[in-house]
Amino acid sequence: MKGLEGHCILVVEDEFYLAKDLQYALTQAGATILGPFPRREEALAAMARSRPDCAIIDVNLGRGANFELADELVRQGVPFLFFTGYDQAVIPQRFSKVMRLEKPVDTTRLVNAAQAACSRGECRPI
Amino acid sequence: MSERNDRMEPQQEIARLRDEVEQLRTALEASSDEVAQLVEDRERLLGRITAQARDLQAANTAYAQASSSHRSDAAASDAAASVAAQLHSDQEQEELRVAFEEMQVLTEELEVANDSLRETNRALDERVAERTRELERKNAALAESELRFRTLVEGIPQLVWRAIDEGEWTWASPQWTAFTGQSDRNSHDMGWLQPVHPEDRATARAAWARARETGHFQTDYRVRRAADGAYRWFQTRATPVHDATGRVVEWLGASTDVQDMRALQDRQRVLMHELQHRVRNTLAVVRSIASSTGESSDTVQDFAAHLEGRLSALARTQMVLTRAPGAGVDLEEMVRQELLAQAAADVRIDVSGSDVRLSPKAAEVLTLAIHELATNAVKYGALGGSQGRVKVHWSTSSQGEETWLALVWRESGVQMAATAPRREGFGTELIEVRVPYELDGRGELQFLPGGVRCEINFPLRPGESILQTDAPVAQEGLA
Repeated sequence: MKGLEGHCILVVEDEFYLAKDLQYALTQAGATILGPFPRREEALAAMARSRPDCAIIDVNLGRGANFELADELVRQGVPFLFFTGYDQAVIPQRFSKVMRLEKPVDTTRLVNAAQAACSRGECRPI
Repeated sequence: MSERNDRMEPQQEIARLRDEVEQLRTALEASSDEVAQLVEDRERLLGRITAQARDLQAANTAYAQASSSHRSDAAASDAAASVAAQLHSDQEQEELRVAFEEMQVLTEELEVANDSLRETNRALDERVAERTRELERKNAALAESELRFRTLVEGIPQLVWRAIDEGEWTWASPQWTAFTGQSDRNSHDMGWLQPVHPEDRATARAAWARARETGHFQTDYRVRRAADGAYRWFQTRATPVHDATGRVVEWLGASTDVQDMRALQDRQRVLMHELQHRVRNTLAVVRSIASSTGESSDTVQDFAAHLEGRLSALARTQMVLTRAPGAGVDLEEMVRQELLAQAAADVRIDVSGSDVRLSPKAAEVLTLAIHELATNAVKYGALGGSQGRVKVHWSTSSQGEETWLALVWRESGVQMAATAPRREGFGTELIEVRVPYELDGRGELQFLPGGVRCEINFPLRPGESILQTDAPVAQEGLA
């Protein structure tokens, strides 16, 4: 499946196997991946060097639901979507318009969602 | 509301008894009037009899004088006067006799009336005494019932109160005063709103406005605890008390502290979401492991055996973690269990190291790593042949502010040519890629002459599961 050519997508997911699956599916669809990163700090450090077109982020990076990275993405104007096993109820109201991909996700849904979230572009230095 | 009926009944009963006693008293008074009338009649009659007796006396005296003068003077005219006097005396005597008879009848009547009155009086006294005893009994029962009711109202943990109209309080229980520090008097009318959280006052008022229409009051609001100034959630309910015509006379209300219950409900909600997250995550991981296993398996049998072994290792970790949440996983126990699962004989393995407890995440990764190493050793390495041995040793060291674990798996005595490096497999990826990714450490797997050598290093970070009951709730979405 194609459809993400030329897009740079930040992937933040702490489960190795899930990160690997995401990376594989998105790369197959033509995207460039920034990451994947298991921890917020590493994602933020990478964003200081490259600006992604969009981001797919896990809500729980090992210590329960956390939205600090999502807030930072909003601040930086990077569109993103949640990749999560949580229900909508856990997502704060301020992210009510952010799309939520439920785990486990199939490739078609993933690529379509990433396409919708991304604007065209490359991983470019800031 | 049956308590209220129990309370109302004796009161009505007492009112009824009072009426009855009043009626009896009226009857008694009426009887007394009758007796007085009879006494009066008798007095009058006595007066008449006395007067007639006097007249008779006078007539007799006159007659006697006339008789004596007749004897001395023997006058015919005197005889005539004497006859007349005799006649008059006879008439008077007759009248007196009649009056006496009348008086006798009256006296008899009076005696009968008196007897009847005495009887009535006695019966009345008896009934009054009986009614008084009954009244005393009922009063005692009522007092006891009121005491019971009061003990109940003041003994229950709820803050109880009474109100009229749209929530204007008329009484607050001692519990209310004890909790809020507000006196009964100050709670009256809308004074009770004072200890209610300012943000919840509108809610409370709105609930009262609704109660008028629905005939039922129920809402939750926070009330300030005087002891520490903390606001606690209360569930408040009130029921209207109706009079005989169905009109609402007042409201009886009770506020129950539901703070702890709400906290538990929040906690339960967090746990439920967390469980949901874990289940979905685990399914996603299982799916990924299945697909990775598929990529590195040559036959379906191979695939099935590998997948089963990996899922079993995953299940063992979960079991240990959920059996004693928060306790972590004992490293030595885990290593021995994984070797045991491969039916490795004790004599050929050497497991040693310091006391280390693993966080859930570290336990999950390391269990699977040991599982892969043990499976590999049975199939190709030290546990497959007859001469091989396995040594698993670990130690901890300080690196900066963190404690790192260094675990070494070393096989020896392996004669097989299978020690030559094979294609990148599931185990290699697990140790060399997943360990750095998830545990922020390093992993190295070498296929050396004589057997496999694996070294895993990572920082021991506290990573308590949110599923354990005392884990902090960091769920801003649920706030």
